[in-house]
Amino acid sequence: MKYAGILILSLGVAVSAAYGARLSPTMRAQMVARGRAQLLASTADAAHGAYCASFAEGPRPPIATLDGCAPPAAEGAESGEAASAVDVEAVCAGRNAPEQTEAELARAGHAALEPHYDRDPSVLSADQQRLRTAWLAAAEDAVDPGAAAAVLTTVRPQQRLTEWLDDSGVMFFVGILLVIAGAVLGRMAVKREASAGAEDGAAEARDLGELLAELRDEVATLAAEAAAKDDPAQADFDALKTKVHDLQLERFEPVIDSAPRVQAKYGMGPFAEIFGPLSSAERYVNRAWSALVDHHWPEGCASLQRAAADLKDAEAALSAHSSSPTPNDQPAAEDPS
Amino acid sequence: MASPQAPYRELTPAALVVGVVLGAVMTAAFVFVALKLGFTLPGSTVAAILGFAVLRGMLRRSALGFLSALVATKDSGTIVETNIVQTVASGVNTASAGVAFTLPALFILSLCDPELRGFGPLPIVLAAAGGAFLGIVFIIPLRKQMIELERLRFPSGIAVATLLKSPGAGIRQAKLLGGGFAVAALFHVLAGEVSWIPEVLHIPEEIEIGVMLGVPSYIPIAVGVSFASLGAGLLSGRGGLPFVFGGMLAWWVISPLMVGMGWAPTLMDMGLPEGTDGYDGFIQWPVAYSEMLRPLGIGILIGGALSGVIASAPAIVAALKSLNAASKSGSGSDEMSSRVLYGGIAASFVVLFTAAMLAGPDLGVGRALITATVGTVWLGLAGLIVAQATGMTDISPISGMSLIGVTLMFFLSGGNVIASIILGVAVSMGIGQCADMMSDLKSGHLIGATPKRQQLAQFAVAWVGAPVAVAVVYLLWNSYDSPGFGVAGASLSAPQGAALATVIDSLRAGSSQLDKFVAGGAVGLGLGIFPIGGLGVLVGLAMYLPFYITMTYGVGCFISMGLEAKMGKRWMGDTLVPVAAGFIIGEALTSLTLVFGRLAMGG
Repeated sequence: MKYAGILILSLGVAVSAAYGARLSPTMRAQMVARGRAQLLASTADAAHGAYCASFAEGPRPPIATLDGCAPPAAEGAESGEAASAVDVEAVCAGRNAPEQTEAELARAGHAALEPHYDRDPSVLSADQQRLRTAWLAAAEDAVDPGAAAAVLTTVRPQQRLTEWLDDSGVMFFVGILLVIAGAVLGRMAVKREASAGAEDGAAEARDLGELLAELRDEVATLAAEAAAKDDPAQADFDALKTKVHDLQLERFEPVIDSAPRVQAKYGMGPFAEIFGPLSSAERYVNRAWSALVDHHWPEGCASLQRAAADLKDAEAALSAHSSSPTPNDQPAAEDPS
Repeated sequence: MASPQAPYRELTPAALVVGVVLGAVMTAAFVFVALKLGFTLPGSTVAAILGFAVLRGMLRRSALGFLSALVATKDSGTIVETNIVQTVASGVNTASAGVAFTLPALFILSLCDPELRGFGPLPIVLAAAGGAFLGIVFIIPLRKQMIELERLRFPSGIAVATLLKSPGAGIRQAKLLGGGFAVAALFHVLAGEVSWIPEVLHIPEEIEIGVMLGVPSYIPIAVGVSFASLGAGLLSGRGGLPFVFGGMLAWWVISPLMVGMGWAPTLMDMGLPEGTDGYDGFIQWPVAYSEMLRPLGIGILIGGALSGVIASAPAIVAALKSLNAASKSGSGSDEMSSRVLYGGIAASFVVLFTAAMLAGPDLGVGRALITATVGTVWLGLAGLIVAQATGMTDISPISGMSLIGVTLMFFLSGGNVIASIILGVAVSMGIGQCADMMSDLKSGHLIGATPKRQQLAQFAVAWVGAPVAVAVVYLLWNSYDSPGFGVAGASLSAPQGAALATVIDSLRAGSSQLDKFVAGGAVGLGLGIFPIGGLGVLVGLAMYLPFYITMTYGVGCFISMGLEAKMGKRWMGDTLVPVAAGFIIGEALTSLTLVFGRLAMGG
């Protein structure tokens, strides 16, 4: 059931996310216009780049500069690398420009190319002339689509939403239903696993209870041993630190690994009441380790004592919840203590 | 070494002073970096390294003369005291991203619109400080849930804890940490196009395996050369798999599907011949990523977080009970009192409301009240999302959450740009604070720090970063050949601020990707029903990010799972954790060095 749930959930996420991501018809049409403008502009840029690259070696006639092929030394400045005064008027002219129609923009674009046609390219080599012609043709091709893309109207949020729902809503909701079905199956599978464990509930509670009790005994023993030393030597620090390190890595882990089972069995609230003090105990054991590294024996002892007390609180919480009915209405587990 | 009679040093004046000084310096420097390059550096990791060096190194050895005599003793620099230094420094430094990614938009927009020039620094500083306090307050009841119950990994938190513990962890672990550091640093330098390294040794930041195999770029098969991402995956293991699954779903299922089904514009639609250059790239970025997956991912993040709040309600109630008990038990508890929580929310709300009134006097009391209220609620939810995402993957979607915050503020304030950006600063500061505080609390848990002391320290100094960051932004705007950033010809590009200015321009024109946010929200809510905590947040985050980041992280997850099965848990703790921590720390410190090296050389 668990794997069926995961499978249905995955399918549901794929369907709902795919149809959720689908563009509304108007947005798609706008992306077509933008794409055409962008790709043609890129083609024109590439053609211009190829034309300019032909001047990399050899003479650079004035027409090259007039066609916008900056000499290499000026390229850094052109890209804004070198600090230069900001022309606020020019920056704002673009932003505050009066709205133009597509025809006006197209006219302006074509007009901007006119001076290039007026120049005499005969000083260029045949290859350069061919590259220049290709660039101008590509630039001409890009003007009208660029103008069309620049005047696209904003698609209002409500329009986007209603169009998208009309176009993709049914399949999207089918996907959402699959997500919910898969998630519910997953929850049922987890509960069933917890119930199966709860058939042997007393044993499971005892397992966790026993683990907690053993852990508490170990921590309390360490705390007592540490408290008995008045004037610890370096070897005592090292020995206790090693024991604390072993506790951290080997004794806490199995208890903490039981978290998903405890959560599934007792529910979120009781789980928090059991694992809250358990985590606090873990933090105090970590504090003991730090204090020992810093050669502060009293803090190490106090931290271990506090950890033992917290573990006792965790045991008490487990005991309280395992002696009351679980959310799964399973037979009550035995008191682990 | 500490004297046994003296109390164990933790929250001390030395730690606060060193933390504030480091944090203020980092804030000023990182604001500049953010305006220059568009990103900041990992605050906690850098703060831990610097704090470690100053408190445990220089001050303990009295190298800093009068400062040492003033704030430190020979006992200075215990593990938990150094943790307070990094908590404070990184807490102060959250202002660098919070302010530098939002406030510059207001300066940029005001350049060409005289109506937007009527703002002063006071409401900005108030909003930033109010947001910072709210971020810390909201995290108080979530600490138990995320760190003690869900046990989120917070890979950078683990890395910081590993560094702090290194003096006592033994030679072997120190070597492993150092080895991880060296490998990460080497690869980061080789991928960083450093001028003094021969070009033949340069490696790309992203290895596009798919492109080499002839797969279209809108089905990306690529990994990033980032040992920090790999380290985060190694530390996350199996828990990070839904994130990888989300990335695969987005880029290996949805992206090819939309091309195959004809949902994306085709070359024929555009009237262009087959094989036109740049088509695959156009489909991958402007169409699939910007218009489809990213907004959908933001929606899934929000829906997933909302359902997470509902699912975790009993545990949050238990945490609040614990805080109430702390109030009754007085100063003996490790938990912050619930009075601080409620009082902090009220006080921060008043500060935000005041900032809203000062920022937009024409808003009116009613609208300012609604804006401040929704801002506060959004900050809490976004803070939860960012803290969860950071906890599970080490990646925080702060910019996306800030963007939604500014959008909300824009509509609620009736299109008032000044008020929406200034409250956006508060939201950005707050959610950054949530992620940072939670990561610091994770480090604290691993070294046994007292949560209340960490939270008190951060409370005491959280406001410091706000005036520093705002002052640096003002200074840089008026420096060089004013305006100093964000427009053509300016010395600093301020890419994040310029992007936000563009978004606000489109909001003013009435544009918003509402359909994608709604669809994503529904998917996220549905995912929240499945019994894996944070599933919606992970899937949403994967859609929100470029795939090569997800892939590198995923490689780490799979390696970690394989190693755990073969070597066992003890080996993972003793060996893999220090190596992975070394990866994260190595990349952070190398980034810092490379960035400042380049800036020093005028790059």
